[in-house]
Amino acid sequence: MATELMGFEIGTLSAWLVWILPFAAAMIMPGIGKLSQNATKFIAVGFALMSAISAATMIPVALEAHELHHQIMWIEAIGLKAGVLADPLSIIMANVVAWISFLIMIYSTGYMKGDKDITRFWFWMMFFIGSMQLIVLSDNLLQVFFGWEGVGLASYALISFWYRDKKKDHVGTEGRTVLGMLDYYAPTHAGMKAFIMTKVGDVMMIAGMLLIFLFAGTFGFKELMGNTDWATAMAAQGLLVPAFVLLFGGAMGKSAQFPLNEWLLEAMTGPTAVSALIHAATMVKAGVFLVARIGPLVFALGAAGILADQFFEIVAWVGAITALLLATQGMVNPEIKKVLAYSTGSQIGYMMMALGVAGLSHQYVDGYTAGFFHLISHAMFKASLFMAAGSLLHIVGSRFMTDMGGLRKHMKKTYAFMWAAGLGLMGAPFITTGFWSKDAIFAAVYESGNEWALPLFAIAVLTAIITAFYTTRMIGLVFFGKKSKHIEKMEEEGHPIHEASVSMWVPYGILAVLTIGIGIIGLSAEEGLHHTFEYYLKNSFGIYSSHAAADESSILPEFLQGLNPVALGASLVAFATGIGLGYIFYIGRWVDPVKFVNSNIFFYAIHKLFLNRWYLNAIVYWCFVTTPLWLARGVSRYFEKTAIDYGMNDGVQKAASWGAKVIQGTQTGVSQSYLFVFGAGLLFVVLILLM
Amino acid sequence: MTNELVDFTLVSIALLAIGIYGLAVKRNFIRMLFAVEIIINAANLNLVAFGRFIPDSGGQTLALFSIAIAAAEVAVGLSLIIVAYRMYQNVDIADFRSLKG
Amino acid sequence: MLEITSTPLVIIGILGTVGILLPIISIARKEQGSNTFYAIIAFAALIVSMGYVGYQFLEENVSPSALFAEDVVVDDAFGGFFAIAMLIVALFTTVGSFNYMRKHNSPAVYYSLILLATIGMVLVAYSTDLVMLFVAWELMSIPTYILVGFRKKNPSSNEAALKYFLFGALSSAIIVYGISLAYGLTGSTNIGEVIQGYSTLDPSMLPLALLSVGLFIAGFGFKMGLVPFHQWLPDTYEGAPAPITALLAAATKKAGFAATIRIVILGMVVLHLDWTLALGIIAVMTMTIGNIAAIMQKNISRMLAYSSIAHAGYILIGLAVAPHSSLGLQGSLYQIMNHAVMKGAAFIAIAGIVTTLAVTHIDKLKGLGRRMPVTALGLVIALFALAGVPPLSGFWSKLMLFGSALDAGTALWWAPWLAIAGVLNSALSLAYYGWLTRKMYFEGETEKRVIEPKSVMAIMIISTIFLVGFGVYPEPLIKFVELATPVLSLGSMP
Repeated sequence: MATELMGFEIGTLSAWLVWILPFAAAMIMPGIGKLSQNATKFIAVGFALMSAISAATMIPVALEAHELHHQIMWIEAIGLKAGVLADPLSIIMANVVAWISFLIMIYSTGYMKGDKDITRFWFWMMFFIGSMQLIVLSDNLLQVFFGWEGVGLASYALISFWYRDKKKDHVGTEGRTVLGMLDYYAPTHAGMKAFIMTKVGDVMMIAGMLLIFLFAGTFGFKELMGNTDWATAMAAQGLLVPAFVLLFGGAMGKSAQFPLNEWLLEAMTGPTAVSALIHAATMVKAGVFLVARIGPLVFALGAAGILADQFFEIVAWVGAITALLLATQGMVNPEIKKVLAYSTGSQIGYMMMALGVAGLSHQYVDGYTAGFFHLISHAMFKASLFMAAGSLLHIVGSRFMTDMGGLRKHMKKTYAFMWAAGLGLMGAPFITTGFWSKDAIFAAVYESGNEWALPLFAIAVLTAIITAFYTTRMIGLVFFGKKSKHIEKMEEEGHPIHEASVSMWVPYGILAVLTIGIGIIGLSAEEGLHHTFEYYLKNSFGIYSSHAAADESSILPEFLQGLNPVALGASLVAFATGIGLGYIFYIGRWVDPVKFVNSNIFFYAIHKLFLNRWYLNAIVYWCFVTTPLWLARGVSRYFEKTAIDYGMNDGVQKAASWGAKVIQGTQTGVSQSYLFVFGAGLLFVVLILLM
Repeated sequence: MTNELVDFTLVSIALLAIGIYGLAVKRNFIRMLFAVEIIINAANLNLVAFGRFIPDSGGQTLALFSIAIAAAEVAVGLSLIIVAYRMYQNVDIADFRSLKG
Repeated sequence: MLEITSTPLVIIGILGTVGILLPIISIARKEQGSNTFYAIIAFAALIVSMGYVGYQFLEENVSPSALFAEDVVVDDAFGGFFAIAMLIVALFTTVGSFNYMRKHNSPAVYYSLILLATIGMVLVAYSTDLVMLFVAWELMSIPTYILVGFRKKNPSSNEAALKYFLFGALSSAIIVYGISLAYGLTGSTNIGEVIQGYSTLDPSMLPLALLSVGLFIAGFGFKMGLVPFHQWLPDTYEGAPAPITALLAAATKKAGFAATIRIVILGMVVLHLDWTLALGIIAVMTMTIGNIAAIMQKNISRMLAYSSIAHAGYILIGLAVAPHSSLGLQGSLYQIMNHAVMKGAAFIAIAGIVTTLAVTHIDKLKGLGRRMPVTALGLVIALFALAGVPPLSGFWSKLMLFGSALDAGTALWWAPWLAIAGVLNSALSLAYYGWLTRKMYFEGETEKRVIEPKSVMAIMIISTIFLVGFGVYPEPLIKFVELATPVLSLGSMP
């Protein structure tokens, strides 16, 4: 990496370019849009590609477990620096984000064709990607926070992209209520909801950030690691764990972790390309990335005797609860994008769980690798699934799976790719990335040797069964069985079902093939990642991993050496159970699921609980929207109107307007009076000077 | 010598007082302009008088500049007054009060 | 001796030649019409001057901010800083007049007067001699009297010009009187020698010296719009042609500050005399009265005129605490540069609104966000920058000003109160800026977009880039301000 350009090392320059290019594209987008709406897509795709290539040029640095750190002065007056930190973690993440965004951009050219607000769409998409890369590559918390807010803003704009709130852009079933709360959301409402819920996290995050800054006097990751006196001081006051947990609060908001999970579902009102971007590459991964960023720091502090184990416990449990909670809801929802959304939340929960248990075990690198590997594989298959679902929506014209059915003969490519990516989500043994990453998480949880290991492991396995089940259900409902009435009606009207356009199926095809392709060499891929992170953690944080001698008495065949047999067995069983149940109900259709649920009050109650989102959404609304509004009205009626309006507000206002009137009164318009004031002022000044 | 300086200064202060008086009581814009001119001339008198006692040409120079500038100023002022007179048929300053508050 | 290539002389050369040639050309062409032709010549002259100042800075030909010098003008960073601020505003005014002047006669004279006034302002900032200062001051003032009354058939333009003229003439009379006293007491008109003369003055003569300083404060205070020398200001700003208001509010006002810093503030530091209290009191009065009066205004020019009075108060905070905090003058200079861009842009936006929609009443600005989106956005950004909302450029300068007041708290017990008054006033000002924004964006429904003047849009875009750019990355501007701030110490005496 000795090559230099304009005084930058190539790698460093790339690290800047990766996030500056998308922003630059966003900045010129309105101008381009004015010239030609058609050209905007070339700009968007071109800049996304350039950004991705910049990211790719950094890969050698990651493989050498190298680290590039470059800073420039930002605001010298307060010693603030801006910088990029390209270490293996951020380089891998940047590549995942860049390449998947690039594919999604290609997909969008087909999906958004003919939308008249296309310039706005590209602007926000590029802004979104740029903000995410800013988070990934920045070397300090403040810069991360800038990107963080950028991501929030872009997601708000994109979720409510179809701001005219047409009926087809809503999510939920019209008229359905849960605990008196409508379960039916318009895009603008959804955008606002996402914005506010993630803001709750952001407020926590900025509090944590400032708390750390107060003690450390720096936001920089390297600086924080370089001198840990601040941590000792904070630990002495019992503020260390709260500060980290507050930071994690930000991650909870962005990554839609319990209890800030409810916005993720309504975020489906955005165009599907946006959902794919939010779920696979940008928004929700930001939270996981943040935990992966600060996790080693916390662990290294723990190794140095400044314990912050509660942080990891909270991360692991929040992850586990989210994983199970959202997976159960995914089983019953009728909308295809919502099923995928639930599944994202649940998979992110897995990642958090892995990153959490990593800190509770002695082999930090195991859980760390597992969580991050899952992030990568999830990014691939989830992006693919979302884009495929988008194609379905696009062609069928309905978001409900019940409006689809029997599509496998008409959309062969989409069918095949959805199976491939779906198998990745289910964790189909030995051939998908999803399997290896999930297995790694199981092993990490099982081997963590922590008091919580077993309950967490049980939750993980249960979630895996449910995941396999709902994925099978989704594919079964969409592609198998008879054609729905909706489709028959469409065909009668002369809109036969056809395959999606090339620009649409190619991107998700690539990702689906990659899911299987990398899956086949999955074990070695994982080992490579493991090595990289081992060096990374050792070099940057001084976290050593003691290599336990390979289990010689392993009962596993040669090619699976080094895996934990219990975890492996559990994931095999989970996959088989889930897909089996799914097959019975939705592919083979031997049992009618509706009748099955209604056959028994117990199943009925569970179904209803899941469908109503565990009543959490309604509770959130009751507690934080309806009641406060009602209280506010009450307060305004009985308190504000009397005490504040007549007392303070009116008083202040009257005083101000009285003052204004007096001053205006002196402004007579007659020059003579001005002259007197002028003269009096002159006298006044001279008198004061003489004093 | 000094006595003479005091004489000049007294005249200057008298002129200043006349100027201030004129500004304070007159409402005719042209008269007010005269009053301002008188103040400027008071200053000029000062300058010339001081320059007489100080071995330096600065005072006289400034006085010359000041007289020339005052002439330019008066020219601009009178032209504004002429425009105003065409509109109002009147140059009473108290009538120009549409801008206020 | 000054070289012929020194910045002030080159600016006089360029702007003076073009300024004098413009009317001659118009006479020679025997026609009045083409406003654009003259505008472009004036624009080019200003751009070249600005380029020259910038070039001198880049080449580092500029001497560090000198307090005093032997010559009548000095080519230092302080003057260069003001020259850039004033040339920016002059450019804004020229470009903003493209459309405005379409409906008026004699464009050649109009642009020529703008150029001449600009020479005056720039020279005020460069001059180190009272004679030079006075001449420059008048060169700045006299063309603006005419410019304010340029709409000959319009009664309010005429009334504005008369009021402006009356107070302008009075203030120059006062300044000459102050100069005559200073000259009589010290035997010199060089600012450095005057101040040195003051410091060795016979104590019995001190009241006369202070009287001359008081006269200077009043005379310059008239241009700065300090309370109680401010009353002409709202009337004049309301009646003057809107682009000229930008010139008055954003540029000539700054010349007053430049002169004040050159004479009063430096003298104060050198003489160890405590005039801070007087300036502090004036600062608080100016801020408060300006902001309170602005709240109830119905005319947008008038509202901004009062807000401009209030801003003079903010800037004065820095001057008042300058002897006790090194941040004081820096904050003032910083605010001066920001205010030049913010106020300039705001008044040019109003000029654009007046030419296209012919309204100034705030209630009629409903739905401006839809009718003139670019202008409205530029105006709103300028307004929020005026209020000091982060991350716009105005935030940092206010921060520095209020910080300097706190910093000076160790020496002056009342200085922190200046900061408190400043913060309260900023909050107060946010009320009427917010109200205006609400009118423009959240009221009115049916308005259709109209064609905005391109020249105004260009200024809006430039000012927005300036305010947002230096808001996010203020470093270069802070560096520039540091470079231009004179070091206040006795060692810098001639």
